[in-house]
Amino acid sequence: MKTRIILLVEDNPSDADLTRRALDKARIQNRLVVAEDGEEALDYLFGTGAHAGRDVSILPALTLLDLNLPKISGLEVLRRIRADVRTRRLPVVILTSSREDHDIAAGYDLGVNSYIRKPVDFAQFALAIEHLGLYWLVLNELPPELENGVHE
Amino acid sequence: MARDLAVWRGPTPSGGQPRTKADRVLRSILIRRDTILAALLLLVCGIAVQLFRSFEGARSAAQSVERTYHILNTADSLLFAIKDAQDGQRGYLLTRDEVFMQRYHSAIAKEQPLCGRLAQLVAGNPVQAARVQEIERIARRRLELLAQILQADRNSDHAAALALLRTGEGQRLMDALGDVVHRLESEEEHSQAQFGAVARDRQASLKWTFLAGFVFLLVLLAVAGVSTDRFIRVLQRAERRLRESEERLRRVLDNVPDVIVLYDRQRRIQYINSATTAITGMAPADFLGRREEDIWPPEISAQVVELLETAIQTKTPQDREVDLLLPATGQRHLLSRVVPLLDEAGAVRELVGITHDLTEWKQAQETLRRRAEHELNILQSMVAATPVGLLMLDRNLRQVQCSQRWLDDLGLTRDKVIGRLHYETFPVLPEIWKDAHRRGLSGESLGARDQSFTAPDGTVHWVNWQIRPWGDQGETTGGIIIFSEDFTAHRRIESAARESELRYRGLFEHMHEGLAYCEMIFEDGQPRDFIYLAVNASFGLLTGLQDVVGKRVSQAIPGILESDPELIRTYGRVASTRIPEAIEVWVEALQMWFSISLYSPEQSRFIAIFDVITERKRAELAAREWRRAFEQTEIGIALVEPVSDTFTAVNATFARERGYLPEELIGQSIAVVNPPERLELMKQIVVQANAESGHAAAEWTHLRKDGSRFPVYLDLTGVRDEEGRLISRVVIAQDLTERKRAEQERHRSDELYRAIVRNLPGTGVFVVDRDLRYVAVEGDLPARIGFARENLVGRTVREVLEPSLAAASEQRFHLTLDGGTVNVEGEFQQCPIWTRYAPLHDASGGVFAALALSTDISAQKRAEREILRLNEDLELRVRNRTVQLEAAVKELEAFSYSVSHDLRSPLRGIDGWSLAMLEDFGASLNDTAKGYLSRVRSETQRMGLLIDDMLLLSRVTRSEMKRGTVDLSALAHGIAGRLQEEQPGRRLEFQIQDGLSALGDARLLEVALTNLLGNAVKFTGPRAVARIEFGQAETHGERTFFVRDNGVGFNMDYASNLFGAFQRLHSASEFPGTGIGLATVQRVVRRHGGRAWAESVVGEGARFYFTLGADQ
Repeated sequence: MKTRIILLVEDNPSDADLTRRALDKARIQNRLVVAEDGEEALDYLFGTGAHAGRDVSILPALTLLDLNLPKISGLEVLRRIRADVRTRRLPVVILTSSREDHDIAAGYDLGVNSYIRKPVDFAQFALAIEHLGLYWLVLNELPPELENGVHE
Repeated sequence: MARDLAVWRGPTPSGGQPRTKADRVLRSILIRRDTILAALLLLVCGIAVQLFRSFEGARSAAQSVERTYHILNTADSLLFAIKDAQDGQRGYLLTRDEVFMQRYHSAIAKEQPLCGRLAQLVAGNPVQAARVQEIERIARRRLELLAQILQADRNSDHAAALALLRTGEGQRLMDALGDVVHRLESEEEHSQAQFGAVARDRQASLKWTFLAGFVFLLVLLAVAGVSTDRFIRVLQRAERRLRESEERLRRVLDNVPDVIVLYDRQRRIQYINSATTAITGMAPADFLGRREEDIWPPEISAQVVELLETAIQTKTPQDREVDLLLPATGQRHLLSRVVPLLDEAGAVRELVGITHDLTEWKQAQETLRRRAEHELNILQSMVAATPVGLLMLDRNLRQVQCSQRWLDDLGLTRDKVIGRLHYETFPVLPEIWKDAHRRGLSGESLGARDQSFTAPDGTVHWVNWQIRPWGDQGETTGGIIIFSEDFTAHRRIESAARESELRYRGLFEHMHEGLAYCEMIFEDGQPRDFIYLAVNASFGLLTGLQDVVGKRVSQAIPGILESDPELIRTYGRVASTRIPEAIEVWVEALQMWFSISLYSPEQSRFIAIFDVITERKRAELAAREWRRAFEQTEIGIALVEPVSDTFTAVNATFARERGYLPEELIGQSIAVVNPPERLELMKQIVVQANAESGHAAAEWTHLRKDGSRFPVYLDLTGVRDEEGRLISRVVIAQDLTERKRAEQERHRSDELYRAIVRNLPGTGVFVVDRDLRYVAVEGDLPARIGFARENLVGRTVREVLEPSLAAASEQRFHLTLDGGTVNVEGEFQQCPIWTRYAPLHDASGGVFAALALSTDISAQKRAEREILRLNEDLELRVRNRTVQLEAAVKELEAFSYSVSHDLRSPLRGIDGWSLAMLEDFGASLNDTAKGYLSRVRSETQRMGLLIDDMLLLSRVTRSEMKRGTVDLSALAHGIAGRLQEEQPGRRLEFQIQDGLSALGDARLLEVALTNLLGNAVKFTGPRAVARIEFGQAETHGERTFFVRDNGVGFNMDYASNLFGAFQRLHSASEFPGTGIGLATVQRVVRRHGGRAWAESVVGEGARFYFTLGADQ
C-alpha cells in the first residue's frame, strides 16, 4: 500500500503536536514528518545534512510550512523548493499565525499553493487541518513525480 | 404590376390597330422563311441521293477488291501447299523421317478445300473459272505423280521410282502450275487495280458530297438563325410598343384629374386611376374587386349605385351631378358620367365611370360671385363718397345712385331720391334740363357752367354741370350720369365782399395800420383756413404780401396753417364768437411780431387791424435777456451811482456772497461792504474808475453782513451815456476765498509729500524732465550712494552718471517718459538698490517727467539669505527625523509582526491542550474542572480576537492608502449580507441608501463600515427587529455618512471615550467585544482626512457619523 507523506515544518513542538492531533482526529493516517526548522526541512527534501542518504525520490505529497522559523525562514524554504527542479511542483501550503499582507503576497509571489492562517480556536484549527488533508491528500491530483509515495 | 396590367387589358379596345405593321413584317418573314426552307429541303434530298449512290459504289468496289485479295491469297496458298507436298515427299525419300510424311499429308489435305474455295471466288468470271479448273487438274496430276513415286519407293521398286523422277514430268507440272497461277493472279491484280480506281472515285465523290451537304447545312442554319433572330426582335419590338402604348395610356389616365373607374358587369371595380386615390384619400386596394356599396356608407354609395344601375338598364351613358361628403377630403361636388361598354351581342360588358370634381370650380364660381358683389359695394360706396355732386339715372330717368355731396348741395336725403323717378323728385324742371336729359340718353355728352337751378325747397343754386351717358361698353345707353358743382356759397361770399368794400373803402385805404377783411372756412366746426376778402394798402406795405385778395391764407402764406395754428384758432374764435380780441403774436411763417386787433362784422367773417411790432419786441427781449444774465451769473455784479456811491442794482450772487438780500443792498452806500480802514484807498480807486479811461481793478477785501471778511478781485468800470456823461459804475467782484484755500491746500500737500519723501529711510527719489535733466532729488539715499542732490539738480543723466550706467539709465527714463514703468535691481557702492521708474502725468494725461524711486534693500537681502539658510537647516533636520521615524515604524512593524505570531502561538497551544484535556480526560473530570477548562479556552480565544483587532488597528494606521472611487452602497450591501449570514436567527432590516460613493481606500472603508454595521447588529441584539440604516446627510456643508440603529444606545456623557482603543461602554457579558472597533473606525476616517462622532439616547438607538475629508 502506498502512503503519501505529509511534511510539517514547524518549530513549535506544541503546534506540531496539535497538528498531529488534529490529523489523527480527522483520521488522516498519512505519515507525518516534522522538520523543526527551515534547514531541516530542506535537508529532508534534498537528502542533505541530517538526512544525508535519504531516498530523495520519495517526496511529501503535502508540505505544511510555517513562516516564522529558526535558521532559514519559511519564505526562503519555499523559494528554494520552487527553485529546485526536483521539488518545484511540490504542493506547499503555508500554515501560519501571520495574516500580514506582505507575508501573503510574498507567499503567493513565490508560488505557494495555498495560504492558511492558524486560528487560535483549536476546534477551528482541527477543522482547517481536516479540510486541508481531505483536499490535498484525497481530492487533489498530484504531479507525476510525486505519485511514488512510500512503500510500506 | 402584373395584376394592374391584367386589370388594364380589359378596357383596351382590341390592340389590333397598333399591331398592323408588326403583323405585316411578321407575315413577310414567315413567307420568306417557308420558301427558303422548301428549297433547302430539295437540296438536302438531292444530296442524300447522291450520298447513297456514292456510298453504294464505294462499298461494291471495296467488296471486289476484298475478293481479289482472297483469290490471290488462296492461289498462293494452293501453290505453297503443292510445294509443301513436294518438299515433304522429297524429304521423306531422302531421310525416311516420318516428319516429312506428316508435312506431305497435311499439304495434300489442303489441296481439295483450297481448290474448292478458289472456284467459288472466281465463280462470276468464266475466264478465271477455266484457269482454276486448269490449276486443279495440274495440281491433281502432280500429286498423283508424287504418290506414284512414293508408292514405288515403298514397294522398293527404286528403279521405277527413279524412272518416274527422271521423266521430269514433275518439274513440268510445277512450272505449268506456277504459270497458270501467275496468270490468274495477274488477271486478278489487274481487276483489283480497276476496282481500286473505281473505289477512290467513289470516295472522292462521297467526300465532296459531304462537304457540299455540310456547307448547305451551315447556310441553312445561318439563314434559320438570322430569320429567328429577326423574328424575335420584331416580336420584342412589338411587345415593347404594346407596353409603351399601354403605359402611355395608363399615364394619361393617371394624370387625368378626373376620377376614372372601370366596373365589370357586376359593378365590381376593375381599375381606378390615381385621381381616384387622390380625391378619396384611399389606397387602390380599398377599391379593386369591390362594389361601391362595399366601399362607402349607404348615403354616399346610393347615388353612384343608382347611376350605374340606370346605365346598365338603359345601355346609354348617364350623367349626373352628385354631392358627396367624402371622409378624407370633405364635401365634394362631382359630375359623374357612366358609360356602358357593350360587347358584340349588345350586352353590357363593362362600365366606365368618369367623375369630374367640380368642387373647386363651384368654389371659384362662388368666390367670383362674392367678389363681384363686393366690388359693386365698393363702387357704390365710392359713388356715394365722391366729393362732387353726382347723380346716376337709368334709361327711365329713375334715380339709381347719387353722391352724398349731391344730396348735401340740394338739401335732400338719400331715401327720398334712390329708386324714384327724377321728375318725381324735381317736379318743376325747366325744359332745358329735360332736353339735356334726352340728349344724354341718346348718347351725347354735354355740360354748362354758371347755371342757376331751383332746388325742391325753393332755394336757388348756382351750378356747373355735365351730363354723360353710361352703359355696357358704350353700345347701349344704360342711362345718364349728371355731375354738378354747386358754387352757390362762392357767389354768396363774392356778393358779401362787394358790400363790405363799399362800406369800408374810405377807412380801408387811409389807415396806417394794415387791415384785412377775411372769411373764415370752418370744417367740422374747426377753423381750417380763411379767405382774404379785402386788404388795404398798408397790408401789403407791412407784410410784404401782394395780391392776396380772393386767395386763401394757405395760398398767400404757404405753410402758415402748420407753423401758426394758434393764430388760425384765434381768428376762428373771433369769427365764430364775434367777440373782439387784441393780441401780440409772433407769426412764424412771416418771421414777424404783430399787434392785432380783431373783430367780427358778421358770422364767420373777421377783420384784422394790425401793426408790425417786430423791432420793439426784439428790444424788449434783449433787455430781458440782459437782465436775466445779470441776475443769474455766478460772478457778483453791482451798479453804483457814481456821485453818491450808492448801489443802484446788485445781482443775487453779489448780495449772497456778502450775506444780504439784493433789496437790502440797493440804496446802501458802498461803505457797507468795504472795511472801514480801506475806505480811503477805495475812494482813490473809484476816482480812477470814474476817470476818462473808465477802468480800475484790484485784489480787495470785502465785508460780509456779519462782519467777516473775504478776499475778492474787483473790477470797476465807468458807464457813460451817448453824450459821454458818467451815469453809472459797474462793479464786478470775484470771490477769491476758494482760490486762496486751494492754493493753501496745494502748498500743504506739496509739503506733505516732500516731507514723506525726505524722511523715508533708505529711499531716494529722482525726477527728470523730458530732457532727462534732474529737476528734483529727495531722500536720504542719494547722498549715501554718491548722488548728492546738489550735484544732480539741473544736470542731465548723461552728465552725472558714468557712460555705461548713463546709457542704461537713459533707456529706462525714455521708456518711462513713453508711459511705461520699469523695476530694476542694482548695486551702488556695495548697497543693493531696488528702483522703480514711473511716469508723472500732467492734467491732460501727458507725461511731463519721469520718476525713479530707489530703495535700499540690503536688509531684505540679508533676511532672504537667512531664510535660505534656515530652510536648508530645516530640511536636514527633517531628513534626520524622517530616518528616525522610519526606523521607529520598522520597529513597530516588527513588534506587531511578532505580536501576531509569538503571542498567538501559545494561545493556540493553551486552547488546543485544554480541549485535548477535555476530550481525552473529560470522563475523569468533574463539571467544575470542565467549566474551568472551558473558561481557559474562551479567554484564550478572546485574547486571540484582541490580538487580531489590535493587528487590524495597527494595519489601518500604517497600511498604504490606495485612493479610488468606492461604491459605499455596494460595500454596505455586501457587509449587510455577511452579517445576516452570521446571524441567521435574527431579523435584521438594513436600509441602505443607493448611489453613495466616496473617494478613498476601499479596504480601509470596508473595515470601517464592517465595524460600524457590526456594532449596529451587535447593539440591536435585544430588539426583535433590528433596523439599521446607512445613508448620507449634509452637516455644516460637509458630506456626512451615518449608520443608525434602533439598538440599546449609550449615554452621551461617555461619548468622548467612544473612539478610544479598548474603551467599552457596555460589559463584555452584555455585549462581547474588544473595544477596538470604533478606534479602528476613527483611524480609518482620520486617515481619509475626515472625522467621526456619535449621537445617542440610551434605549433609543445610536447614530454614528463620519466624513471623509474635504476633497470629497
